[in-house]
Amino acid sequence: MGGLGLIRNLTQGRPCNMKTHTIDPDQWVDKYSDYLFNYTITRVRDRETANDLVAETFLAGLRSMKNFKGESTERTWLVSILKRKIIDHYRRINSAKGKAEVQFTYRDQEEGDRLEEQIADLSGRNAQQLMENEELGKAIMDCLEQLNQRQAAIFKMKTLEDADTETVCNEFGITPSNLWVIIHRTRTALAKCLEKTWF
Amino acid sequence: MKQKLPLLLDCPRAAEFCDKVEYHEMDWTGKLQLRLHLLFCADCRGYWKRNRKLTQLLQKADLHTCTEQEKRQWQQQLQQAKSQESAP
Repeated sequence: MGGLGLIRNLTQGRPCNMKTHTIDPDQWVDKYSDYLFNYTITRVRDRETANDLVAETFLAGLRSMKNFKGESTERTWLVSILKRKIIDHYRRINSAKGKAEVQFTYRDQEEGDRLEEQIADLSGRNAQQLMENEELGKAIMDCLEQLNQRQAAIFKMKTLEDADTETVCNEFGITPSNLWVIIHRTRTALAKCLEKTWF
Repeated sequence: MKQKLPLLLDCPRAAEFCDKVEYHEMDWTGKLQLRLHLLFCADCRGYWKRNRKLTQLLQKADLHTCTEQEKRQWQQQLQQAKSQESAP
């Protein structure tokens, strides 16, 4: 960090080693839309609602750009806006219904345990599994962000959207052999990136 | 995956077949060729295992991404909002 940056950080009360992040709304959709969309859909479980919430987040981010201090990354900052949007969404739903909804999953009493215990156990396991899956999803998204944007977009379309080869090739103007080379490189890079924690 | 084996498939081709199998885009003759190659090639067996594990992880993460069309729509909305803000 240069002398000027250091003086600016000190005058603004930031620690000396804190990196200042920049903001560029033109890059938001390409860089963060998949991450934000995945974050939202795991919480609202409805594609249309998730789409609206992500769009609202981008627009709210644009409006409050001047509040971005550069202390966190752009993505973290956008996620904090999105979190508020998701909470507002649930508030709207609950106020429309007049009360919060509690969901129970009933199943056969195989072991003769009390229903309450079964529910508690089930929800505990589910919560843990959900958290682990979310961590994994975040790790995958982080690894994909390190790759070339076009390469990552091709991989996502083919793998996560399960699009057929012809559709992907038409969308990106590539041949099937190009596609398989890109897929191979991306899978190798992704496996290497995830290796330490997840393999 | 450096060595070449006296089989129908060479290693780069075997790696491509490994990928295609993960996307269910390999016919039975290709699968058979791959099986034969994997019997004799430890490096490709290693790649095949890692690739399998990667597919399992991707399924477990249950990731959802937005379509290119949705992205274009958001980009448009952002551009519109930006131009409205900069207009006097």
